[in-house]
Amino acid sequence: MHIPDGMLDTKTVASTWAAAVPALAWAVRDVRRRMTDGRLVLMSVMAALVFALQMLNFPVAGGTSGHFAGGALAAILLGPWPAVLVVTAVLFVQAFFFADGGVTALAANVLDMAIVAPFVGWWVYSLAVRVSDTRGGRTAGAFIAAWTACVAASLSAAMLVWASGAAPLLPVLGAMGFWHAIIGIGEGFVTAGLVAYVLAVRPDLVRGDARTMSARGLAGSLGATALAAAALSFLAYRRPDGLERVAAELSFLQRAEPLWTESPLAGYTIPGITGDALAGILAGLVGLTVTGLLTYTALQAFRRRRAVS
Amino acid sequence: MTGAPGIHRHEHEHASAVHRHPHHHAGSAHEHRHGTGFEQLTYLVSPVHDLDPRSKTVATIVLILAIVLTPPVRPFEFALLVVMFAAVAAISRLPIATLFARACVVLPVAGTIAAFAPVTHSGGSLSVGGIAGAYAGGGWIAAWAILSKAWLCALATVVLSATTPVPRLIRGLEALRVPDIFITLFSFLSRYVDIFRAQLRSLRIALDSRAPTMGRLGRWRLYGNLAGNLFVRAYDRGERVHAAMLSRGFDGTLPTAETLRFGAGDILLLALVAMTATAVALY
Amino acid sequence: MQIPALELIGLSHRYPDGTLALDGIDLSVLAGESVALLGPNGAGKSTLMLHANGVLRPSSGTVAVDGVGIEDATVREVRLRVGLVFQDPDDQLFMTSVYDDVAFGPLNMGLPPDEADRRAHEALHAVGLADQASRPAQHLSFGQRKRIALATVLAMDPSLLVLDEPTSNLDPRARRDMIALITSLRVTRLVATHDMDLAWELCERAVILDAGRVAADGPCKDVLSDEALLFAHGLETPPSARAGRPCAAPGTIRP
Repeated sequence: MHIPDGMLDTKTVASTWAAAVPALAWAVRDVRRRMTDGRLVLMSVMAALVFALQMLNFPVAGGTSGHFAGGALAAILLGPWPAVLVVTAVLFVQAFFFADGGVTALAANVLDMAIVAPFVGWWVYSLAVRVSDTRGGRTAGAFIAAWTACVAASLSAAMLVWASGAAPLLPVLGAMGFWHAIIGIGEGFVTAGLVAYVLAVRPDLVRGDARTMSARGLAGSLGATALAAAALSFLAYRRPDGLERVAAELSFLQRAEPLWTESPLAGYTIPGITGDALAGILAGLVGLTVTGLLTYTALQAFRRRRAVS
Repeated sequence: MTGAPGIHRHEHEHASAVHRHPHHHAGSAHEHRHGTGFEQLTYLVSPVHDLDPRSKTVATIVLILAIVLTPPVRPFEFALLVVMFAAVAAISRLPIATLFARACVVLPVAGTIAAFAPVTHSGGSLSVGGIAGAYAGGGWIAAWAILSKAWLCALATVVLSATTPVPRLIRGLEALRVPDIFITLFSFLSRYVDIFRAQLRSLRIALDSRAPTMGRLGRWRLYGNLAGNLFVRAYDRGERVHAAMLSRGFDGTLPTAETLRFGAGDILLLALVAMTATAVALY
Repeated sequence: MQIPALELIGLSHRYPDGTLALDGIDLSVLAGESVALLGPNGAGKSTLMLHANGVLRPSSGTVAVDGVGIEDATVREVRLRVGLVFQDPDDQLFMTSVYDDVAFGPLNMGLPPDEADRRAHEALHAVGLADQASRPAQHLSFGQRKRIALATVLAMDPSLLVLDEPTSNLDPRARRDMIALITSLRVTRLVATHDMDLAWELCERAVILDAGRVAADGPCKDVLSDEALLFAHGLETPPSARAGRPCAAPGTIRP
């Protein structure tokens, strides 16, 4: 589900960063404020655990597989804001060291997996605990929370891909949603299993610390969600193709043909030198320097070999 | 070649998979890892390996931005970038084919979305005319754009991670003013993930050994138990680690040891990258 | 009258769930002594060790290091003097490179970077692993990690070393190296161990801990030859003693 570089268009990339950075800043502030040093160490060790648990692969038909993500789990065990930071750290490491998820797309992946998933999971889990604060209730709640978080994250990713004009809305929503509904089962089992185990062995680690949303918070967010859903469905009803058409108009990929032959920045060059020519000069300089470095390296290696033999 | 003061580097002769190590194997494989083959690459000694991690990180980000923000990558740009990466790999004494292959991991994900592109640009209809018809050119170009960009950007990160050991990269991020809470997270993440993975592996082996005929569904329901076991152990370990930190005088902030220094090589790298990025953007 | 390097008076520790881990421990370790702390699993050895540098605080009783009682105001000073080496080196090596782990202590002490660097290098040389400095801990063998864990503490130049199972899980060669290493250190030491041969070879005095209480405290020569006493507390006479090899002589460490 990690979105790679090059899939999202500029406006989407910019918007995701604009949304993710303040959220992360808030998470950092919240966690710094609330957590003692000891708990920070624990949170960091938990990040390693979440990353390790991602080793658990679900084969889902036809050679592809999903893996355990852990956003909802982190929120249940640590609370939502620490979970945001934990998953963000994992995503960062994956992007830079494993090419799993893009660098410019990091903000988008953070939104899906480090913000949507933990908060949705936490919300559902809080609801479940309120309904039934028993071991069974918490376990079932953990399962549903993890499943819902998984699906919600995948749908968010699908929306972002669609907003970039890279795919039509309903197919990508359907595809992502379907596969993650299946992957979510595995995520649910692992999350629920962990919660059940820990409740049996070390219940003090799961309860306490006010890790579930307050009743007022639940009611408020439920109301807000209902309102938003109503508004969106009203809009969709009135203009069934409206959203798609808007996306098509905004997508610059539609203008791919002329862009294949000339750069949009062609106008921003030094008078007298066209964009192409300048690019050529720069490329030549780069080529020269690189050739020089390669020659130097080769000479060094040669010299070293001579010294040895 | 020496690195920053205080850090010892040891020379590796890199010939395919053969590495010389100054210490003895004790024999039992589970005791420790020398790191994956890829991690071994970060211990090579080369001008690029010695560069300040800050400049390498910034260079990678600048290149990725240039690749992503320009329109579909045309043959000239693609060739320029590939040649540049290959050259850096050669100067770093890295196996080029390995790096190129590692970057290919993005292709399946990028490919599934790229598959939609020809369809999108015919207005969303799945008719054959859409794939091969009048608007098809835009669609195929869009597909190429997605695949080529994804691969090039992945290659950039692969080169970065192959030329910079994790601790040094984290130190670079710290010097780039990434909030210390993230630095702590990254440090512990990279330090303890292997231990937990190894523990998960042995728990899984134990499960498979005692329930060889259990179906997949049954096993999945037990993975939660494994995860719970790991969690409790990880929690206890976290407490012990904190105790160890307190024992050595920890007072809330991790001390920074190595001071990073910019060199001529770093300025050269940044200049090269700036020129390449501009060339890609302008063309 | 010599001020003890470590003095526990009536030390009791009760866990949050109510179990009594330590029950009125009286123990004195003088400067220059090499003391073995023996006992079955669950006796409270690790808990006791965590009191030695103030990570755990007593439910009742006192702990004093070099005559200074451990309390909030003095605990930082105490941690400079008491070097605690944990049983599992992975708990102690938490930085991303071995060098950073060894430099962690000196830097936290407030030493200037070049002094901290010098100390780190000395410590790494002392344990024979200076060439591994830039590697992450997980790339080292278990025996090497145990030695680095020791180095992390040596870099702080402690006056009392408290070692928790220094030879556990080591193969024979690594164990031999570790014993040689510890013997070479001229620092007062308290060694918790199941390795009876280690106690015999390294320590002149043995303290048996069982169920949170001191069951015996005397010269190794006597305690470790008393089969009945050892058996009663889940231990047994070390093969070296039965073979007639000499016990560690007192006064080998001159602080």
